[in-house]
Amino acid sequence: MSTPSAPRDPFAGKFEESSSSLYAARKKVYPREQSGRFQSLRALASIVLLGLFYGVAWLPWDGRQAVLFDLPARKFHVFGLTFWPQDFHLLALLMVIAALTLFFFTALAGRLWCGYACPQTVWTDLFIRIERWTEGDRMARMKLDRGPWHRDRVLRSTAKQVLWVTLALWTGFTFVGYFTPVRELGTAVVALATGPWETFWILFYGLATYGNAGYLREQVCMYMCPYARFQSAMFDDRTLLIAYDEKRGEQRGARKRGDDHQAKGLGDCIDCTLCVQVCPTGIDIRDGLQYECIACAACVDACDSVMDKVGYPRGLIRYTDANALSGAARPLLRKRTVVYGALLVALTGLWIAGVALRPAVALDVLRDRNALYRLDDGVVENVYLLKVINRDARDHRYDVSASGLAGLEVEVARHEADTVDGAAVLDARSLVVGAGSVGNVAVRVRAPRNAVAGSRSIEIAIAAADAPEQRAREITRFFAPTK
Amino acid sequence: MPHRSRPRPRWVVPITIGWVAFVAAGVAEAVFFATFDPEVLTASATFPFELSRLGAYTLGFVLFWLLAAASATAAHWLLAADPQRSPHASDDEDEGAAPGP
Repeated sequence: MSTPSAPRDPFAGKFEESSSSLYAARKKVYPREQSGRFQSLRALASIVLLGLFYGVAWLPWDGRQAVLFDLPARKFHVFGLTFWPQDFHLLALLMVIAALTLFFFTALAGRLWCGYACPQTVWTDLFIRIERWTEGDRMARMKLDRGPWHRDRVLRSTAKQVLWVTLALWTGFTFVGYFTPVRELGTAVVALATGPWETFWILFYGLATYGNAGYLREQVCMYMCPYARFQSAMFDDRTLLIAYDEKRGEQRGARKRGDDHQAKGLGDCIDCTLCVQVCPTGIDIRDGLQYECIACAACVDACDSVMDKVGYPRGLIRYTDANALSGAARPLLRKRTVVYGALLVALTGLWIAGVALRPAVALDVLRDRNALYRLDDGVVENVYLLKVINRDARDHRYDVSASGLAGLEVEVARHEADTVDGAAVLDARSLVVGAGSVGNVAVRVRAPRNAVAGSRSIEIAIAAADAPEQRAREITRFFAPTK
Repeated sequence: MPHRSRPRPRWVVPITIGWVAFVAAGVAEAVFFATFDPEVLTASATFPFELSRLGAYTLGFVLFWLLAAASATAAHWLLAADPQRSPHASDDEDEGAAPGP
């Protein structure tokens, strides 16, 4: 930080009270409630994000769930788009884009993610709200925790636990509802008839929510979060961060209203410690930039309210950057943000193109493993399993053909349709696959015995009868006796 | 930044191993089951094996998780029990040696 003295080690003195031990008992943090413009912004972000999480699962779209990562059926629905395991590269690219987005915003605005959008923060805030509602404000909670288990404490604690557990289970249920149809799951839950795997995951995610938001809280950020460790690598001196203006604040100290504090050698900090009391991670922002800081800006709002009260200008603790604190000027656009931004735009473009240019139909051909070939009355027959992926928004009838050898004939076997997606076999040459579905059928390919010997390449193709440009083909092997 | 040894709650080691292994298992799970359909796998098992897809995903995830956690635990134990690095490390699970008291 830009202090006249030597740069402050952000970790100096933090743990010195127990330097002989590697383990410290956690000092429970009782964050004090704080209102203000940034806390309103955070509350708004929480409402939007939680609303999205709990709400989107119930959105319908074209007669199905709008967002459903349908694991049992092996396909992901995201509004109008459907993704299959074959589109795995798109998912991988999406992960890279998500990481880059995080890097970009970190370089630009610091730990915006931590303070406003991280599920750990959002759910912790929600759980703290419940705690506040049932057990009272900071002082009341501290008193309650120190006191004996009298009736009031039991009642309040029970109320808190009931609400926490309900919310955690609802969260687990919603989470599982993104992976298996939520309405069916809801019916099953009401009837206490969820399958063992669904039950396991609902309880697992419920427990994770309960533990992380109810008890671990800031410790997740301190001990478990990789982003908290490496985000400083993306910082530069124009990165937005929350800092205490040491030049303006020191010497901190109490004073009487109306005192000329400058004459007494005091800075603007009245040392009310409100910034420490509101901190959800229990740090003192006045000690300088610390990796525990999740940039929630509670201290900014607390300090602003105090500055208003004592009649000093706001911003003793504020969103700023190292540059502004030291008084130097550097452009907002710099190599780091330009590179992250350009990469982000390029990869996002690539991803959109990848999704838009996915062929409307895809074909996988697997040889039937039971027999290489079957001989029948001067004819060699090979059996193939076709997987026809209809990515279009409409049902299509696909004609199946085979080429590469003289006299090849194709017959679509009339066997039972795929259990999950279904493909109706219309006749010996074609099948129907529903919109956004995968059809699995067996196909017999026959060649005259005298036209083929040994192993030969053939091509199996499908084409939509009503849209001939929607076609796909695959090369496979055709086996016959060597002579 | 110079190496710091800072105190932390005891549960940090198991929780960290569990959590990191959880992420690793998630990646392994996605790659593996995007490549292989569990229905095909269970159908070709060497002994009778009946499991729904959801069951296979869950079981697969738990196995990946256990494997990753076991590997991380072993690595952590080896580092913590390295007699060269931490001579006083009998009850010390940190990979960095404790500062001499």
